[in-house]
Amino acid sequence: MSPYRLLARLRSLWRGVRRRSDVEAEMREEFRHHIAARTSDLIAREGLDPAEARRRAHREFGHIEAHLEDGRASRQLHIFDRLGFSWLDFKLGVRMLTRYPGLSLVAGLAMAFAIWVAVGTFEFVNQFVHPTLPLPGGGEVVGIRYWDREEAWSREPTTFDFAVWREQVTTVENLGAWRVVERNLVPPGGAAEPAEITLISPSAFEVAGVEPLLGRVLTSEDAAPDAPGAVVLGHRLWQRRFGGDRGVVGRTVRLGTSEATVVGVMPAGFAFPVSNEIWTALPDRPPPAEPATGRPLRIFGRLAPGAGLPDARAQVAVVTERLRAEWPGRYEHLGSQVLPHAESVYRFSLDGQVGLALYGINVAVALLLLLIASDVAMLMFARVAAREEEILVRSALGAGRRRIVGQLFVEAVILVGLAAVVGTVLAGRGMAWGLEILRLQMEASSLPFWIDAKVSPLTVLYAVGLTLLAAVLAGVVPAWKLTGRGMERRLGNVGTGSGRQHFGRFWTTLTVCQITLTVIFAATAMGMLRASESVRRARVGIPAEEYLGMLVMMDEPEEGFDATLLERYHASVTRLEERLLAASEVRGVTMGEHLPVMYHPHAIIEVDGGGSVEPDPQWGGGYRVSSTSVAGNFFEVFGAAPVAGRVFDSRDLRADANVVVVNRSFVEMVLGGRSAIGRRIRYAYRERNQWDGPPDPSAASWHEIVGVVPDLGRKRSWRVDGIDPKVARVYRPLPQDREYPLNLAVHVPGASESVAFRVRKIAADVDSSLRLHDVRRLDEWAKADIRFYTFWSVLTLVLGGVALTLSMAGIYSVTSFMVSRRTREIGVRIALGAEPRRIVAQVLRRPLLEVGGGILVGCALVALFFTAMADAGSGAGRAAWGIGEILGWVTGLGAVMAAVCLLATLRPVRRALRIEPSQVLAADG
Amino acid sequence: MSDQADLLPGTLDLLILKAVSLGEVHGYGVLLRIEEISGGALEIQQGALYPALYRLEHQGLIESEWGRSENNRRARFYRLTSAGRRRLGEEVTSWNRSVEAVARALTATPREVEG
Repeated sequence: MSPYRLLARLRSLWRGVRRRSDVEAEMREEFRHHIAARTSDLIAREGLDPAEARRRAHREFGHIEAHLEDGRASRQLHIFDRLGFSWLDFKLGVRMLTRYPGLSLVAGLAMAFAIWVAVGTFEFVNQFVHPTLPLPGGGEVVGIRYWDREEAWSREPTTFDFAVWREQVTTVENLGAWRVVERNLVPPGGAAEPAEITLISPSAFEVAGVEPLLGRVLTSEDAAPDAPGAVVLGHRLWQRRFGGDRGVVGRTVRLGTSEATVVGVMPAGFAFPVSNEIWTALPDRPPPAEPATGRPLRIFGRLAPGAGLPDARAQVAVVTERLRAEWPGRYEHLGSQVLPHAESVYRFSLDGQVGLALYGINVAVALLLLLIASDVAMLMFARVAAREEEILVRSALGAGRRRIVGQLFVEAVILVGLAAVVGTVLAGRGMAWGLEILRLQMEASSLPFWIDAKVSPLTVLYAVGLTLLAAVLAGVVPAWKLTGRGMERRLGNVGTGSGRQHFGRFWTTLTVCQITLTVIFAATAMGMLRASESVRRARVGIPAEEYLGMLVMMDEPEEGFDATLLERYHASVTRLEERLLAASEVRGVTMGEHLPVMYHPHAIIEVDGGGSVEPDPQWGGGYRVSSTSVAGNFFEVFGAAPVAGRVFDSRDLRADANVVVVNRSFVEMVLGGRSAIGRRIRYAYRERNQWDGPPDPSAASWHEIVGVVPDLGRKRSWRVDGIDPKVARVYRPLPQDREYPLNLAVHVPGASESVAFRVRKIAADVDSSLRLHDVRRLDEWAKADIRFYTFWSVLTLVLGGVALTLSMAGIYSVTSFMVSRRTREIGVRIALGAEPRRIVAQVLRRPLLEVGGGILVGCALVALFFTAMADAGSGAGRAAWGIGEILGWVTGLGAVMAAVCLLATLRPVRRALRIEPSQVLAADG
Repeated sequence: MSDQADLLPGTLDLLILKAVSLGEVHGYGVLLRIEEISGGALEIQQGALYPALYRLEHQGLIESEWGRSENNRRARFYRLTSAGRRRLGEEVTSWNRSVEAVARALTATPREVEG
């Protein structure tokens, strides 16, 4: 429908609802004109006398009321007639909302927030579970893979399978394959930086149906085994690494050890197949003769004209069946799957519990929305209850229950509807923030290209559904309760000012729950802020800004990583070290499995003869320490002279050396400050990272402590309290020829981008297959953590703010309501000489009890959580959150909440104290 | 047998659009104009006219304005919108196609069936 026609419909509807009587009057006038004109015609044409002509005109026209009814139906106004809503309801609704602007604003903002979160979450989950490809005919792009029925996990096909499918599958056209390799990308005159290169069949560009922005896409000629290297750049990469240079097409770049010509640049947003941004042709080599020998690939294609998913599935299944008959060993547990492309890239299946679990997130978020809607219901109930007399009288005058409930529903719909519009409009923005944070957290642009900050029509429909649900909860439930049983009895009390409706246990529980939530959110925010502060202030024991850190990796050849390559790696790293040391500004170069500011894996150790500190039974009588291996000059380069004993030297590099160096905190936390030199430790368990080489053969041997060094760096952790100020750490000598990959630290005071650039150039000169990842100053590691903690603290503060505001608005409404209900009672008590103190106590009793209860429950939960956290961590964790500190801030938080609560009840209390007994009693009499 | 033809279902909207397309006209005028342009062969049931006019207006195909009729009475005048003009064009094409098809079908000879 064109926008013009939609507008015409809306205008007609609006007019019909807004000015029902005018519309009806106009129809009647039009009918009158018709009958008069017909009468004149009949007189003139057929010579009838006026009375007869009028009678006939009326007869021919038919029943006016029926035509009026049809006329309204033609304008689709009968729907409103049937529902019993009128414009008056809308007007009344708006009037009620503007009469209590503060409450309406609080309720509206809270609902907008809840809908914003719910809609954003729904859209995100939906894009993830039911992705739609933003490509021309994206629904026909499919992926083919195997599904391991035993392991319930996807299995990548190989070059062998790809060749078989390409030959035998006709229901999917332009069948292509891709895989990713990591290589250095060196632009002309630029530095080498690692990039994920997508080796892809040129048919990908045909399948995607997207034209290049500059130059051309890959063609089948580029895939010939002897073809010169050709590369297509993605828009973001082109901007980032080539400065958006339009003359880039035709230039030569280096990809690892080979060269390639840039043949084209793709437009912004194109990242097919997933989040790829540099493509080169997958060589079209003859397939291997047996399935097991091919490399794993991902397969894509487009459904052939006239073929659907079921056809493709059936055909691929037949092909797989044939393969199974020929190679039963390999294909025994494998079933083929033809899926929409986006679904095929996830390793898991979205059909089963994963999809359900993802949709479960929506249920959790919808529960939050319902909680907030219950709050709004409480505000509405307080407001509606204040109008109880009016409603009871209206009911006595014949207004049906449905009518009254309907009116309050309309009121809620207006409030929630406005909130929903704001929430849904903001949802797009919220998605954009969410995606940005995800990207930051993942430290890459690795989100699939079909996940986008947009709000789909389905999500808008969901928002409408949520709005109605929330409106029912916030409007209908209070009205239903108010117009329910005992109305006649309550009607009898009208005018006496005595208490009728009251707030039951449900509302009390709700308020207590909210205060509890506020406390929890406040505690979390506080923890996060504290963590961010401690990261900021953490003394890492080294001038981190003077060191450039990097992870050094090497291009993996087709046949995989082997001993020869490991040898080459270490030779290249040694040469790199020498070249770097030759640079004038470099003061030192060292390496280790990890550098001081990075996460270090844990190990459980035993101490020969036992430690002096009681070991934690959690670790089987051992001690949990952090452990890493470092080069001989590590401590020297980081300026950490031993405080006792010595640091590593060339003797220690022997496999049977079995020596370790520990830090000061180790001496304190494990040995209770006693002398460490000469003591022996043994690894009971060592957490290994995935790139570790063969298992350490000396794992079970005793290692002698030969030196103690100052605490270096901090332990990066995801704990609520951020970092442990003290970490017991064990350093082993780095067996240079066994470890892969290594982290390199370059001591360059005033390290900057230009130094990083030079380091990259030197590395590329030394060995173009060496890749330097995460080249950055060591102090920048902390910045990422601070960003993380700051984001979460802001988020929890906002949530806490919402919960607190709602609780306070609820307390204000309920207290106001109570004072207005008990005006007469209070008046009588004042007349009888009650002290103001007692009146205040009576008014404040309930809100203070609720707030107190909420604080108690919240604090108990927070204390439990922190105690559990402290127990789970090392001894230092306990020290980080002392009981005194927890008590201190619980008291502080309680005082703040009580103060806010008193503020919320200030007005009702003042009103109660100003009640004039004489007026109350006069009104009574 | 009467000279007047029965109105086929769904054709009332088309006829109203056509009548209004010939110039601004009030409700009763629409009725007269249809009778006139159909050579008196089509007679519209008077009561059915207004719901149809309101429906077309609600759909944005025609629009109306109050004015004075030829005998100086207040009357509502209807005119075609650009969306209405487009719709009329589409409906006329579709109608002509149907008429042609039905006419061809009705003039078929046994030979054509056998051939």
